[in-house]
Amino acid sequence: MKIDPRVTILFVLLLSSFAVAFRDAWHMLPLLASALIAVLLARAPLLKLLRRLRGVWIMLVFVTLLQTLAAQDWLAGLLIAATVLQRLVILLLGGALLAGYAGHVLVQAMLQLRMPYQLAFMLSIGLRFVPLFGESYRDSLNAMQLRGVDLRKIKFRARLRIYTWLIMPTIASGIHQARKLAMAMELRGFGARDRRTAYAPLRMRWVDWLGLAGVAIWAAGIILWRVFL
Amino acid sequence: MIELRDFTLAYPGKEALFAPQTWQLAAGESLALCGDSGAGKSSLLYACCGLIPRQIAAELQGEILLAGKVPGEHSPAERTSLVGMVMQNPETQLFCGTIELEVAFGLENLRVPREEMQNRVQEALKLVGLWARRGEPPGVLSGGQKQLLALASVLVLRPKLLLLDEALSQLDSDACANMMAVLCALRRDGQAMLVVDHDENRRAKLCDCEVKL
Repeated sequence: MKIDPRVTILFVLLLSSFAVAFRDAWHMLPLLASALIAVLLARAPLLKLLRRLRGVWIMLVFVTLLQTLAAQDWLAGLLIAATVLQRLVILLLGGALLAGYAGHVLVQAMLQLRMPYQLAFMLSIGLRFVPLFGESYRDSLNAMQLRGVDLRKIKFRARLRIYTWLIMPTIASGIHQARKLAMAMELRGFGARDRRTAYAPLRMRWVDWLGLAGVAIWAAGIILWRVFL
Repeated sequence: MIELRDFTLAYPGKEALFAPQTWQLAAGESLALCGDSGAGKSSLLYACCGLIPRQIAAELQGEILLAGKVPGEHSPAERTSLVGMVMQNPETQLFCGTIELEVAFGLENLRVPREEMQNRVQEALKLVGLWARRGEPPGVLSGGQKQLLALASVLVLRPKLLLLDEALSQLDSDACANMMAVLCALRRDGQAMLVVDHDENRRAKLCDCEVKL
């Protein structure tokens, strides 16, 4: 049984705020532990997300190494690196928790959390455009390769110029699609009223209220840990 | 329903797209716009629903009236009840998480009460034969089904005038036949239509008369 996304959003917001506010690895440990437990309980698609964000992991290792090497005392550097690494992992786990919900469920949750609906739709449609951009880029790349351009055999400077040729049609097609989408939305009354009704509103069940109470107790516990330990 | 008096339009820095047009389309009638590519058929549809000049800059010459008023002067809510448009590419018309949410989108914008919304969504989805698949994301549908969904999303708002901008041109023959069956049924029920389509047979089936731009 999946918990109401509003409870998860609240948990992720608190988790991320604590992770940014806390400055040392020791105080961040319970945050990391609770994020891991939450991901396991929610059966969030962590492995899928990790596979998708392979580039981010390389960046994480790079940042850790940089932090360690940049400090005068290597041990202090290692501790700073551990803090930064923990913070990034916590933020990533928060993302994994939200990734477990369908986009339209998150939009509905944001709307019911009183986020302006224009903003909620902008976020969800913006995310929808990422794969469309990828698709358009691949189409341009294929068209170029079919005309005999092999990027692997081209020198770096020339390759940069070719990338600009690839990116321009991708951007142009993105703008064209965004424009058509805006037209379709306007013709279906988007923005006609200050507020909207919901076709499928989210309703809190007893398990969601229990989850909300759990989040409140957890947040209080984290604050006490930070103050007294 | 819609009335043009010596109407033409020009994009900034360009000449008028077509010769001045004077004609009118009454409620329940259907008219096809034909002409070569670039003749301004789609632009004329955009002007009919107020997208020109609201979203696309162009200079309007002469007069165009939708239900007695310049299309851009209608409030957005009024406009959705007067005119709806199905465009060529279904991908740019679908953006919600499930099929039924896609159809409900316009009704949610107009603050239609939930019970009425459910009835109207059901009616529109049954009309296009997608009710059984209402919980699925639009992305899993075939191109033809996506276009039927785009049509249902417009029809649910019960527009008095339906604009079809090459709505069938990207569909294979089966999908095209399905969509034509729905559109012909709408025509029999007296739905007013302004149709842009390159296929002469389809125009003949859907429209009472033609205007060449």
